[in-house]
Amino acid sequence: MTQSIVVQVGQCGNQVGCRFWDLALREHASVNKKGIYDEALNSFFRNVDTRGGVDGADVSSGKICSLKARAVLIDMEEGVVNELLQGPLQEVFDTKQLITDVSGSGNNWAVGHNVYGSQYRDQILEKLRKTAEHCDCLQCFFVIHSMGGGTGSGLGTFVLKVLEDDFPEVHRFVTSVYPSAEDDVITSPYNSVLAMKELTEHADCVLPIENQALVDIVNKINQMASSGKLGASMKLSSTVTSGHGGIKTQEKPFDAMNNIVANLLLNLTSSARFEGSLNMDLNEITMNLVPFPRLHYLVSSLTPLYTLADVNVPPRRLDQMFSDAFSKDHQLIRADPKRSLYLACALMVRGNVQVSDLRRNIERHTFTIICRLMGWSRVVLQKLSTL
Amino acid sequence: MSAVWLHIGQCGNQIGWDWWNLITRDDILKTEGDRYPFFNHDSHLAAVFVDSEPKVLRRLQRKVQRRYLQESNLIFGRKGRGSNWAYGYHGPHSETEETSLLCRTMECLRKEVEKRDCYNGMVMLHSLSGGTGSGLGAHLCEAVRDEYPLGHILSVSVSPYRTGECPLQHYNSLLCLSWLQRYTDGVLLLNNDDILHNILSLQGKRAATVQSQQPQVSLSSMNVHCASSLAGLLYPVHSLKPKSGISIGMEPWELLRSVCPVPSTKFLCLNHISKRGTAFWDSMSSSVVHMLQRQSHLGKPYYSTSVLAVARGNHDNSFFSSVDSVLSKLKQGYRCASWNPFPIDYWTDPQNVVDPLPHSQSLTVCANHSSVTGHLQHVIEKARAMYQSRGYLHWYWKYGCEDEDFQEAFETLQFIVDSYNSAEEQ
Repeated sequence: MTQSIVVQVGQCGNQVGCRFWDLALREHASVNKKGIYDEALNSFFRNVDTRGGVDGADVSSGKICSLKARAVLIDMEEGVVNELLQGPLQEVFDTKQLITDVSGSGNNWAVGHNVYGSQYRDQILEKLRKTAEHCDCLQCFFVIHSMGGGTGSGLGTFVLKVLEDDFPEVHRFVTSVYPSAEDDVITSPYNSVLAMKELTEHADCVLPIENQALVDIVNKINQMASSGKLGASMKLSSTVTSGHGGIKTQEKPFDAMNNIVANLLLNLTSSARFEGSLNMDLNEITMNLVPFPRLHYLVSSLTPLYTLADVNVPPRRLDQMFSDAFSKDHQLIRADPKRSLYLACALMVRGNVQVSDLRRNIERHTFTIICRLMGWSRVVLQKLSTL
Repeated sequence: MSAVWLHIGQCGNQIGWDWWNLITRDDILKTEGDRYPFFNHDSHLAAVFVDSEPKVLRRLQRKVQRRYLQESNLIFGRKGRGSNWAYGYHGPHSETEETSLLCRTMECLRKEVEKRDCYNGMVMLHSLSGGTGSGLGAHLCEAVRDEYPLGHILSVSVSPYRTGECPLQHYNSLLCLSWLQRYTDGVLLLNNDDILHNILSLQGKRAATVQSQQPQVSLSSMNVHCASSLAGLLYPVHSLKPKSGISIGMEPWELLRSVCPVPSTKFLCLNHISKRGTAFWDSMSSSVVHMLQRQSHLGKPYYSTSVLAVARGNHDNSFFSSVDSVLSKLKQGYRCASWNPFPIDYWTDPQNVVDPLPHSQSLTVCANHSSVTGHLQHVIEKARAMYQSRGYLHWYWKYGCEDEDFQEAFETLQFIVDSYNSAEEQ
């Protein structure tokens, strides 16, 4: 099985990353009841034998001793990372995986990219190389950052360049959180545009996410939950925004939004980690969805936003789910896909869905969006998993 | 004892798992003679399983009864081939000669071939739309033909849904089909659309009373259907058993000799039906003809050059009493070409290997039918449209493919379509 390394840069990147690791542990815990370190865990975590002190050797199979995340945490101010290290996830991270500074980037791309980039280049490369050495078959890097700030956009894109130069064979997936129109950072337009150029040139695949779209989804779920009619039958812990009864009893303001992004990343990598009836690897995503090298920005959507308490999903509800995947309310950026041109599309399905349901829905939707798909690209990538 | 089975990629291995599960059932493997066609003297299956990532093969290891599988016959890669034919064919740049999947597979095949009492050929199962099945499959085909020129190669290829299952499927199918035309002796084309359609209509007949439920077909039932059709066709039959009573598994090669009369037209289509109860061979042959696509969407009727029917479950010789009407129905339904004086061949077997119940029959018909031109024309058109817009090509150049490969592939497929269109008049 292949491994992936998560590189989280800046305040946003680290907060989303924190939710990601929490949800990943929860997901594996629900599947892996016996506590055996299996291949699925191997893709994101190392199993370290802590008996030999802190710098223990990796244990490749057998019971779980101590899980360490395959991650590098970078932030130019200490607040967020320190909080992470003092919270319940402190044992999942190694102090050797962090790079921090004190003063921050002042919401300035140039400070993040040029000043801190040149200053920390060697350290960053060293940490990345060490983390990569612990992987026997590294397939991709996930970079999580925001576009509007200083560290995330500046230093984050600098890290991308380093990854391209030193690990050319490894795919670079970037999750970029774009600022909303009413952003509180004045320099965010400059930072975003400067970072975009770097993304176009150095990333293999970018998943843009807009804060405003996340806010809309959160509001929609809250409205549903409190509306009474549907709210009673809705399983609150199953919403896309919930922490699954996670580590925090009191959820902070951005947690719901960060959970959505964390869920997206988990679902994207699920086929590479768990086996299903029809598997799709991560490199298949890049190869199938990127027809031209520079057009590598993928719009993502998640359905359903919540599940009902009743587990049996009647076919009409399933068909509704597929329709929702193409509607503008479920996209993670503010865009209406039905008014745009699809170059390629991938549907990743987890759960109890049969091939015939999938084919029926694909045929239904290629018909409704048929005039929008480029003529040659009228093909949809499908994937089934039994989880 | 004459064939080596090779399963490549996710699809090839999943169908292979169902195939081996089906024919290694305890109620089938009763005597030593039953084991002879498929097992080595060390009681391992004469089969090699290759995939570029470990998930499917790990599952196979757990499911197929362990004692039949030899661990060294399962060959894994690590990273997958990303649904890219070029990546599957050429492999990653970092692979050396010794570590490449191709070399390891050829080495394993060599050992299996040496264990055969009389090696006659290889049966290859794979899909056309992925990376490993189509790319590595094409390369293996070429290498095996080079290494064992006297052996036959029968390839069982699964072609993807028309409405699409993967954006790169057209390029992958185009390139793989052109390689298969060059290096195999026969290609048994199984189409996902047809399989799904057949299963739904069979289910629809059974569940006619339950109106409100929409019939559901799972991926595993599709795989089981493919494995059953293959078993109906290729499992040893009584009509080909020599006087000693022990079959050496010559069915795949006899199939090729019978159904591929002309080397330029070697694509076969397969239809299968299995029933329980009293044998009504007439109605079964009507159902089989009904499953066939008899004319193109422009109204041009399709024809066949040669047909093979395999009737299993003929323990009371009921097939022979209705053989004339069955054959004439098939001849009419399949529109056999006039220049072939004996267009329909048939094999019979008293037992039905597909269904364990004693009173069951199956009829499997394999034909060299020109409906394949519909599929090929579709692949050519879609691939050409994509090629002209230059979409996705940078992935193919990156892994070693060249313009000439595509041009040759277009020419080869067009040549096949033209051969089929003109072969009726020969």
